Amino acid sequence: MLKLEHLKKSYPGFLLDCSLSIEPGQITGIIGPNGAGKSTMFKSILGLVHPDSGSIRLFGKDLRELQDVDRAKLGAALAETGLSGELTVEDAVRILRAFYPAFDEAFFRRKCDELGLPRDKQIKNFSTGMKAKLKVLVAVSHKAQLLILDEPTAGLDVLARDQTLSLLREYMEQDDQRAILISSHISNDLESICDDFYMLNDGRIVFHEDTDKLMSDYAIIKLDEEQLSALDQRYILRRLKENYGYRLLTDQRRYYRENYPNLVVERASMDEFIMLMLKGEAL
Amino acid sequence: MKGLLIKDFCLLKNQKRVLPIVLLLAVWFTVMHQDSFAFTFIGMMMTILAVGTHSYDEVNNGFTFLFTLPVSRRSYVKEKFLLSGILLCLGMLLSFVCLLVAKTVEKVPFPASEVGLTVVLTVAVCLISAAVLIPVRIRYGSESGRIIFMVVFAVMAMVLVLIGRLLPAGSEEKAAQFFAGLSPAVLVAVLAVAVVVILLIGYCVSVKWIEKKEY
Repeated sequence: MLKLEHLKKSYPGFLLDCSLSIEPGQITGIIGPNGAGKSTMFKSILGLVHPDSGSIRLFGKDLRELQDVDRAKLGAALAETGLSGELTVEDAVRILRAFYPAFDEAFFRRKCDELGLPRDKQIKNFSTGMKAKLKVLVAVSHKAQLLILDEPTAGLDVLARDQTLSLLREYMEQDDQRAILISSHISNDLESICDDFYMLNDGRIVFHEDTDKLMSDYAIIKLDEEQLSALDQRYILRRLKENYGYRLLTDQRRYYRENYPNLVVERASMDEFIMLMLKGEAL
Repeated sequence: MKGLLIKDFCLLKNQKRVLPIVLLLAVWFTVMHQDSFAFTFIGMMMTILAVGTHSYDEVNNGFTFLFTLPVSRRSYVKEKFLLSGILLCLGMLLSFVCLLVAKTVEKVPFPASEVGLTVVLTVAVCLISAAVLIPVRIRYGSESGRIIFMVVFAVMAMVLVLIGRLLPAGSEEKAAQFFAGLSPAVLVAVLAVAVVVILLIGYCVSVKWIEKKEY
């Protein structure tokens, strides 16, 4: 569905160079610190910035060959942008109906009511949560085949986040050929919906793994200096010095649990995983 | 493009307070027998209103959202030119109706030839303004665009004055005689060709600039 091959885009002091692939039926998460290149990658896929080199293939076509009819199969919600604040939800209905042949007006109106989005109020007077929910709703309401979502849950309270994620789950349940590419700083959100992850750091993909494997096989080991010296470190991916000793990241949880029953071997939460991957020393 | 037009008309709906004022001024100029000025004023107002929709698109990274929709940048430019044309036509129609009503009430014959000439010149000036304003706004944004637009017109005026001074004495009369010798149909055709050429240049420059931009 989407394939990036050595997509390169440079700015002073920054170079994005990444490759990734998304198949139908998949929700793929992009994680990484601020400035890692997530937004640049998303904007390149959407044709908002011009890559220096590499290829972007979407729906089997080169990005430059996409017509409006292909672009209508794409839904997007990006950070710090959206429908003009001067418009109302009713205006949005008229506009989306004209842009998207597959716009599901009944679904859109029903969801607006469920999500508490007033129809005749100007969007500029919406709360942050309402604006964010509307953005995602716009993206999912025209039967798109691929969603590109950059930080769709940023700044939302727990309830609004849950409503937004439910929209995405519902979107995927309706058609098994759909896919989502999503980034978020809230790792719990990604953990709960993504099938796989790419980690982006300094413009490069540094890691790719299935969520199930990440949750089942990866672990954090907490130990002191003495325990570390006695440890088989063949399956340790990262090491981080802490006040009490060390925190290690492994992708062989079962091996360490079985062979070192006295060690603290915990499932790696997404936040811990990101922290170790980015701050830890590679072994 | 239909979606963009609907978006712009939805945005222009917020300018509804301006419309009664425009209508009032149109009636006022007509009643005061400033027929030509009514057409010119309303034509320019409509052009500025159409081109001004670019400012709405610009606010809060609006272009970033807009170009995630199924619309090409080329279509965006086309729509801005089309919107200018539509609003200009509406403005001319409004002025025409005001004048027609006024002349009917006054029981005065409708000045068809004078109105015809005024409409042709107003449409030409407004379309040329749109052809300059649209690319300038795309390239420099709404704020800087306004300043650059004024500079462009000031330079054009200065160049015209300079040409007038440099031409030998009697040139103006010769030119006036030359144009007076042409039939109105030829004059309109020449003007139409000139406007179309300027519009095409404005369109091509706008497309080139908008396609280079990153959002």
